[in-house]
Amino acid sequence: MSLKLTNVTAGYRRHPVFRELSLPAIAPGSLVAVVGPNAVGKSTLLKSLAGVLPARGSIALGGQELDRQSPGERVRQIGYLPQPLPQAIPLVAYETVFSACRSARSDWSRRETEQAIEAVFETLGIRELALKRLSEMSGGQRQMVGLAQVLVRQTPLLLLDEPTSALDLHWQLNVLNAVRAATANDRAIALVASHDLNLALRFCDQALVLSPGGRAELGEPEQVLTPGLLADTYGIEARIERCSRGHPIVLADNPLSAARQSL
Amino acid sequence: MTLASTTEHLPTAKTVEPGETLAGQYRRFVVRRVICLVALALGCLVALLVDVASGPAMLGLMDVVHGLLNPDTLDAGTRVIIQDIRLPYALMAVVVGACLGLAGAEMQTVLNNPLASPYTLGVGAAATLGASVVIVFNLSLFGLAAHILLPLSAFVFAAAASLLILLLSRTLGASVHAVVLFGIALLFGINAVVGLIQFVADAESVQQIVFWTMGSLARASLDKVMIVAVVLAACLPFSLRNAWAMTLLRSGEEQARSLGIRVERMRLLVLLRVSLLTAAAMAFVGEIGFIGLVAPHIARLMLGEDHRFLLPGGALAGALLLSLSSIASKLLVPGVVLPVGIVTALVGIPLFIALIVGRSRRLAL
Repeated sequence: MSLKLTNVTAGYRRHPVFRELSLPAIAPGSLVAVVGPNAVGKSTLLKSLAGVLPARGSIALGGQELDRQSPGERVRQIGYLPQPLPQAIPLVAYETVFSACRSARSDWSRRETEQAIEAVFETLGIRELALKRLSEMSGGQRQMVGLAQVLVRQTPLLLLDEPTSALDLHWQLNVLNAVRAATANDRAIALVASHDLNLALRFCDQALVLSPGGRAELGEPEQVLTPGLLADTYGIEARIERCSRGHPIVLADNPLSAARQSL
Repeated sequence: MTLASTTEHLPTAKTVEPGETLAGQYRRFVVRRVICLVALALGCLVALLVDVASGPAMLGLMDVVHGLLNPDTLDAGTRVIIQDIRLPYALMAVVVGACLGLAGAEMQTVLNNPLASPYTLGVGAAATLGASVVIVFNLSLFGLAAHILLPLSAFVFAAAASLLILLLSRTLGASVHAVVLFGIALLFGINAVVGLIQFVADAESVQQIVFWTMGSLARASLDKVMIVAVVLAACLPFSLRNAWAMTLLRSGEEQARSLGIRVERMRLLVLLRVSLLTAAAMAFVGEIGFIGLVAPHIARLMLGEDHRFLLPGGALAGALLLSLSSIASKLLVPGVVLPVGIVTALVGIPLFIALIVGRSRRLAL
């Protein structure tokens, strides 16, 4: 199922964050990094795709307009991880994920649900957390449970808003491997909003760079993330170097004095 | 790096067995919760029987059970005491406690606020205002007697307060903070009006209003119990039907929205249900605080946040608390039945603290 956005406008009441955004079709199996400075609309884009924020224009997944689908159909198509972590409450991880399945995948039998939960806890490496309360977990652990709530539903579109913000390097790699597996094995499309440009260069098939003023550029990370674009978008002087293994790395040197970033 | 090797970074929960499926282990976990719920229900039953047995003429517990099962075997005096006085009184404590416990549990979830209770939105204060108006102005509408008009007025005022909150919230966006702020503003506003009415009222009316605010089960009858029970029975299935959605809402509002739950709509429906439960409960017994606040926390400590268990648990904890309060109200001062509203906090706080201390000790081990 490919994803196609045509003339999409979204935002808050009378303040659209971006207007008339159109993107080339994103192919199934793509892992796309959504990057850009603060307040440029990364989260707004993911929320409008998820149906959490209203949007005008056309958002089509596999040729079907998402806004013509009922909420029940939509949650079977889209797995959205919001930026806030699950609250620290006395709810054990297993039932957090179980309740998400019962609510969003009511078409699954109990056996199918249990198998999917077993698999996602195994894949994310958090089996030991299954019967632990969210209130007894660290922020990173809760973020992993939030991810399990999304990945367990096996949706063709994954929208992950800063999914590794509370994780150490080890767990960041673990999560990215799991998302990579979902795109490679299940042909899902994953849009991952992040401030980590090196993550985009290293793990993603494409990068979608959102710039102030509503500009957007989608393409292969190495071709899109150029020093010129980083200067325009982030207001920084930056280099793209290669590490000893040949991978490109973004090195930010200085903020450009002429450009003033708004938060 | 293998995925399997990554778990060594995380603290290991002792409860997870490596060889068994997670579903199997979770089922055992669920069974423990069901046992807790059954224990709460049994606690309510025992408290109900003790409540019937307690009073100026103390009855044996087995005599009460025997008398309730075979009323014909009782002498006329004991039958009147049990059936006409004690049983309505004890049943009213159970159904009113259950209404307030359920209302509190739902309200704390949809407002995402552990301090929320039916009082938070001024619903209880509005019931008092409704009662005060009838008492002070000695109203008689359509020929209705005061003992009918007073609960009716309390119910109408409480429901009107809820509708006002719902209307304002809906117009201005229904955010959690907006609803709580409107509720608190309304609470203070209504309390000011009640104060004003008391200021201009004669001494006898003031005494009646004060007595109303203390809450009393003495006004109970089987008819009134039935009315409150019907409201509870009508609301409970709708509450339970929402259990998954409420559980998800507790884990996070954005999470719930992302799962297709229409949060604003659910919040409005829950507030409507809470106002019904509260208005029905308070119309016949007056203001009873504390239960709606603390019963959900007791249920949460025992049963966690899965609302399939928390909602019935909140109702049962409320019923148990008010039933125990009812017993205490008859036993604290020999020969005197204290207004139950005074006793709820005295009984509830030690129970609540015992649960918190017990839980802290378990976590420290």
